[in-house]
Amino acid sequence: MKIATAFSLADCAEQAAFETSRDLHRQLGGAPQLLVLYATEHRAEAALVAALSAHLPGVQIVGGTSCGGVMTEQGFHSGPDGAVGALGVIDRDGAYGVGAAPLVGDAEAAGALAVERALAAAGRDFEIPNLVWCCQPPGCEEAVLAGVQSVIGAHTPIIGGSSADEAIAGAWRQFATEGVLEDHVVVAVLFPTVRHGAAFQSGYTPSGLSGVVTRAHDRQVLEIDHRPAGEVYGGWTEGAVGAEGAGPILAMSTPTPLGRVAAEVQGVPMFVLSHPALLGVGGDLSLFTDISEGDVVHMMRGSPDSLVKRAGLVVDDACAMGGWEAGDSLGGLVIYCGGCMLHVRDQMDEVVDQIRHAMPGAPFLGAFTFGEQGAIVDSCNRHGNLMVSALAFG
Amino acid sequence: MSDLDPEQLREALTSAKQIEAALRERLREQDLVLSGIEALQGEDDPAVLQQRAFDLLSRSLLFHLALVLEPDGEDFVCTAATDPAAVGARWRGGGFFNRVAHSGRAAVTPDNRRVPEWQDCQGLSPLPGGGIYAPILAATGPGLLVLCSHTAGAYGAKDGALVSRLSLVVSQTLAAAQRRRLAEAARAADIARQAAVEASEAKSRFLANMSHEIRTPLNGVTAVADLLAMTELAPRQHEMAQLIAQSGRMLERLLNDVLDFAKIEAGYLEIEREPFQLDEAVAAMIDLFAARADAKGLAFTSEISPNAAGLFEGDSLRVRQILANLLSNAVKFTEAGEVRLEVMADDEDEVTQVTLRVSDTGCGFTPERGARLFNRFEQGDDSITRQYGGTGLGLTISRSLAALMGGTITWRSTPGQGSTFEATVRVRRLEGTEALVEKTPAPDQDLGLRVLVVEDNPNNRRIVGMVLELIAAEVTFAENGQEGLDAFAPGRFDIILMDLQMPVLDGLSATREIRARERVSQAPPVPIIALSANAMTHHVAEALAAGATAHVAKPIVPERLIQTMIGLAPGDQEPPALSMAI
Repeated sequence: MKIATAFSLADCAEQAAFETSRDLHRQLGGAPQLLVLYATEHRAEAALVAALSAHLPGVQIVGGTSCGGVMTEQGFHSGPDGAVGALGVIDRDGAYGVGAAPLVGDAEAAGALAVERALAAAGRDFEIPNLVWCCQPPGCEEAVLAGVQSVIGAHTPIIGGSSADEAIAGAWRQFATEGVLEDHVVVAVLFPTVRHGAAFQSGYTPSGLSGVVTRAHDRQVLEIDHRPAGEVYGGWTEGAVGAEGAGPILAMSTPTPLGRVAAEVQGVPMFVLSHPALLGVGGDLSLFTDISEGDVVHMMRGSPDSLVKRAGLVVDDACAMGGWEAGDSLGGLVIYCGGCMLHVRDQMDEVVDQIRHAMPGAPFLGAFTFGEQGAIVDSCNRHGNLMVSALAFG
Repeated sequence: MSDLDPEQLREALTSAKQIEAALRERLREQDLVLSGIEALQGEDDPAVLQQRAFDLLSRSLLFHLALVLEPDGEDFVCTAATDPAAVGARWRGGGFFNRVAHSGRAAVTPDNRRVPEWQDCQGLSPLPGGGIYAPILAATGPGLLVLCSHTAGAYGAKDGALVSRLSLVVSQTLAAAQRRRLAEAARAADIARQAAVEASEAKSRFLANMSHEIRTPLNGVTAVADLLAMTELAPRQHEMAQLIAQSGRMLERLLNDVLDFAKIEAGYLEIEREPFQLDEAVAAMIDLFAARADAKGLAFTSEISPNAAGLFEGDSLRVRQILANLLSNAVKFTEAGEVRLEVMADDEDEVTQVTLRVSDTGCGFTPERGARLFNRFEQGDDSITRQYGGTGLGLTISRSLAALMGGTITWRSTPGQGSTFEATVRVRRLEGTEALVEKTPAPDQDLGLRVLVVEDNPNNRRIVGMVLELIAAEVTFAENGQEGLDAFAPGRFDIILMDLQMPVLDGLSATREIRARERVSQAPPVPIIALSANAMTHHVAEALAAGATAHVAKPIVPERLIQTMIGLAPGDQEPPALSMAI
């Protein structure tokens, strides 16, 4: 397996595609079989995918829009005209396939259809892949995961991120082999010939404050412990969030998201986070994840320093989970919460350094998403917010 | 310590616990593989090993059915399973099975029913759940270890990787089974080979004994008939005596055929390398078969290449035997027209290839029958056997003889028009003009030889006695080897005729003892002619090794025995005229 990354800050899609494909071709010695592509909404143009497909014949493309920029081993890339980042894979004895399906009403069915198409594209119709990489718009991730798992079972790590935009304005898109898509699930199935390791973590710790969701609807928490959710949450943050009344609270709530225990590893709870995005006029909280009545929610705490170090630590864990020394990594992918990135934007070079340190000399591509998917304790697939999801090959 | 430390500590703890869990899982996998290998040690019973491999798998992960699939041509066949009813089930090998078997990497499926190979499986239905297909190395090539679950999507790639590692144990199990099968096959082959050797030896002994048993009375028939024909008889009686002798010779030829065949099969037949005149050997056959052809009203033509003249080193007897067989068949199967013989000799580097081509205008045969001609006991068809007689061994023997002499026999034939057989043999041309010394006996009735005849069979003693009367020998009889030794004293006899199979003391032992006594007394060795119906080559060799000077096979042909005696008798003896009055 050969992995390489490339990026472009060009102001037009064709030029960005040209620079990216040229650099990949030079490093890989040929067109990659699989291209993981992330770009800011500026470059979410049909011409980008069309030009990449033309420059890299036979390539299959998976990815989506990223918030604020992209990162590679060469640094954090962000410019006035946006950024394009790509990771190419050549692995002749492996198998790779990408499939896409529209999210028309039934996200679970779309997830299932997309993975079926991806398996067919890989020539492995009735098999279970080693890994699944996914990209979808925010809002239906749990159903997408359920749909994928309905086809391949629950024992395959599903890793990815929800496409993001610059202003939470619905400008997010998905990238697939067939082009730039809107409201689609795009799934890649991977049958690599090398080892892989995955990790999915937050950098937050429980504050000790918690309650039971007593009223909820989809992604809205109406009551916690039979009290208005906004009121309870405002109390936990000691007025730091919600004091200004109803409205967007995404930035304010970043240091204090809600967490739920997804699994326990030898007595240590593993939390998946939910990012409160909006305080409703009725005192409800809107999240970027589903929530159910009966869920126990904990208020979590995180600091900018923790967010900066988190990406490197998660990559460390991914390599350790794969079972090889850091220096033996062939490359990897990092999904970093867009909200977190915005919170520590000034320290992104340090974030990149942390990842470089965890994967010395290896190429990697990082994207900033509005929702992260990953496997906790290997193959317990979850969707969360304010998380880091890492996949490493070694 | 800053207020961020608890977060970092918690992250570190979370990471450590996850990594510890992953490490623990890897250690468990390694333990499973190691314990699997340990379980195989010290055990070579394939059934026990297979059970241990299945036990190991069931400790590793949940499954409802485990199958070991080995390649069988284009198919895969279940050779072992946790459910014995699955053994023998057969899958047509498609792209999926073949890829996994040869890739070295396991594949995992969420639902076995979607695997194309299961669609045409004979003898087993797919379990409606997940499956792991791991490559193994079976005795017949790359195979598969298949684990099936009732639960859809029961496994992930990680399970596949684990089973792939454990499949090493299954491969070792199969290798152990293969080793045992090979060992058992080798043992069985050894037993079968030993039995075959013993059967072959028994057959050789049987043939040798039968040869002895048949030759002894045959000896009586032909020798007495020969002797009878030499007496003054009425023409009708003379004809009858000759008929008896001819019939005896025919029986002798059949017996020789059977013996030759047995010798060829047993690998005992040896080709002599003696100087001989090829054209003369051929001429003798021409005389014989030209007469037979003439008797049937057939024309007989021959053409001997000038290059065939001269002296060669080879087995003239066997060359004549091949030629006689071809000519005999040609005359036998031709009712009208002609039989033609061509003899050619082509000198190559070190050897000369002699070609004997016999053509006839006989009944011929189809290519199908031709293909069977050289099968033992085969003639053109059964009706021919009935019509023309014969053992059906002639061509088989001839081709084997030709092969032993570096050649072969080929044929072409058209039914109703005739056949051509072409035999080739390789001989060595001898340089120089030294002619072979022919010992042509001249008649003389009194050689004055003192002969000791050691023979247990009274009839044979009587026959030998009659023969020796022809040369007026002074005969002393002994009925076994011991009596022969008692009668023997150095210088007392000019020649000893020694039967080999006798009671009390056999001829080989008696011969050795005589030679020993001669050595003690420093007396010159008396010629000893071994007389035996044991005509197989190794018997002759045994007789010569024991000290016999020559060997004469029974049935005794008076002329042959007398010529041998003359050749060995002291001084220049002249052979007698073979006629007598009784």
